[in-house]
Amino acid sequence: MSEQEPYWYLASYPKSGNTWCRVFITELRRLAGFDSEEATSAALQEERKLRLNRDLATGSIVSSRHWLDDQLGIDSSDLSWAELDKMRGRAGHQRALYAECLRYHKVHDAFLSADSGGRPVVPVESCCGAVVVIRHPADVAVSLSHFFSWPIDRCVAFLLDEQAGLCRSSKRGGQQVRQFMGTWANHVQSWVDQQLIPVLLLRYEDLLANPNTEFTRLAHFLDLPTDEVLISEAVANTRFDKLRAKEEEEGGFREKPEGCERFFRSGRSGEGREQLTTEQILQLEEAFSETLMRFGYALNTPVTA
Amino acid sequence: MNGSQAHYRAFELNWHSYGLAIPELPSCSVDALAGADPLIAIEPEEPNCWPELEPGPHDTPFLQMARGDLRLTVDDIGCFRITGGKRIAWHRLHSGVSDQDISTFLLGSAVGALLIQRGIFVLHGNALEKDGKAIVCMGHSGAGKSTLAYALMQQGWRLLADDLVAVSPDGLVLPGIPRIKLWHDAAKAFGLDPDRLPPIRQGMHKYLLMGDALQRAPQSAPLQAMYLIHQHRPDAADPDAGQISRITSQKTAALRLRNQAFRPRFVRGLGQEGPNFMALAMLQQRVPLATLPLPQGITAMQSWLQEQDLLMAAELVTV
Repeated sequence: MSEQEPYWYLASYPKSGNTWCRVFITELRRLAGFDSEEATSAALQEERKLRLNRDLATGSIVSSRHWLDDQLGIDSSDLSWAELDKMRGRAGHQRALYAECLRYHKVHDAFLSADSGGRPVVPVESCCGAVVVIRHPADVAVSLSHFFSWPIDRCVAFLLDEQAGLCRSSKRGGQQVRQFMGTWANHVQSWVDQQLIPVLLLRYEDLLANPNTEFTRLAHFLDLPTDEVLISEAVANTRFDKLRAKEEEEGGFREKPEGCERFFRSGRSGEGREQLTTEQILQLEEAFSETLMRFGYALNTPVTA
Repeated sequence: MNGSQAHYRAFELNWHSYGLAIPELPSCSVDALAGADPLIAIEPEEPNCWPELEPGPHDTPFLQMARGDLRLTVDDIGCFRITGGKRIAWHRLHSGVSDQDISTFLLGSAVGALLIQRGIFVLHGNALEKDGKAIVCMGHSGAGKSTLAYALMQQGWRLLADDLVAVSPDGLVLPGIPRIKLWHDAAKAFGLDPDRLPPIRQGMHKYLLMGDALQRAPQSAPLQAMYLIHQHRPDAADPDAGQISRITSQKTAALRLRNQAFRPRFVRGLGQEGPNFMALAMLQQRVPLATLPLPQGITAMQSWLQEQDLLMAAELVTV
């Protein structure tokens, strides 16, 4: 059978800290000398500083057409989203050809899609687990608003939309396939409550408040070194102000969409409460109260039983 | 068209299809088939008569491969078996599967596998011809190959091959499948009415342009330049980002070209890596490879293309 390599998912609703985690992993691996070609090269000193656009190669996004086409043996754009979602879960665990570094796959899909017939949209065979990063939906709304250049209202509606997804249009092509997410709560629960692969749940707020502890948990889960000094250094090198400065220095981050001023914008938590109207906060809290409380997010408004 | 048969010419091969019309392929009469060229058979067949294959190192749940034998299953649609570079057997998985469903995957994957089995070097892209010379534009799925091809056709280029670009050992691009597939939004942006175009498959918003809807080049043409599409972002930091740049490093060119081969997994699984590597090395020595920074948006792309001489640009520009 095909050669199997250990692999993990970094699963999150968009704008919840997925990229931050991938940048941290890249930096930790570099510091630990895992990516030996770089670490041992004569240019080691020059490479001491993290270079965002060059190094962020933690693995394909699960929704990449290029990857799916390779696994399926067909042009995935000849299939409808519904047909494709039924197949996606069986694609991808075979070693991808010519992939240099393919272990930590970013994924924004919910674990199940409305079209996947009760089966996961992502491959789970020999998967070591999923790091699920969550962030308060009010803060996600603010961040989405900057990322997509949408008004906050539209972002709140997006978080509440049972049919929400990325790349939903069936009328144009693209390098990624449709990623079904559903509501924010649906997305979180689909990953946390599935029983097929182990989960490490991280809250964005905790990554900010206790980075050393939380990133050590991440490193442990991914079988990466958990040496205190290494973790501290990697945390320090990937602090938000550092990433933002890097983004400016390198003239823009590749994953930033057109119209979005900067990818690493604020990184703070609590912006949602400042920028959303009371009504918008209430909408989110009412719809997601159960999930918010389950994951330790305090509600602004008392829940009526 | 059960029981019927049809003859086609593509890739300088004669194709004989039983029980399946393939309107995308140029048809020809039996008399017009070029006598010396090999005849490929396309036939329906029950998969239960296909011998089991030993699992191969490059297999996936959808693909089984051995030297000279490839099996492809498209869930709920069809199974295909391609053997010896001579024959494509197909089977529809249920009665709701249309001829068009079968021919879509047959042309996209089965024909490519057959060409690879014949030792033909196949690139994943579009080939266009002008003044008897050819260029190839390559890019991963979703990079905008078909949109670019259609834009070039508006500027006097003729379509030589879509999706599968077969290149002969002496550097000629063979006339392939003369159709392109355009998404709804791209068709509209070109001023076409999607409602009047045939969809690639029932219910899909991606459409076929073929026959009179495009200009095709019927003869093979020497390959003059190879381009890798990348969508150019106006805010990119690199000052050369808007320029066509020739890839001069042999190593980089070889890696980039290898990644643009049509379905590298097929090539490996079918044991054709050796001949493929030789073809790639020869091609790389003979033909310049350059990146093509396409501006986003069809109007911007069209005006940018008007200023380029793609037959010459790859050769002249070095960075």
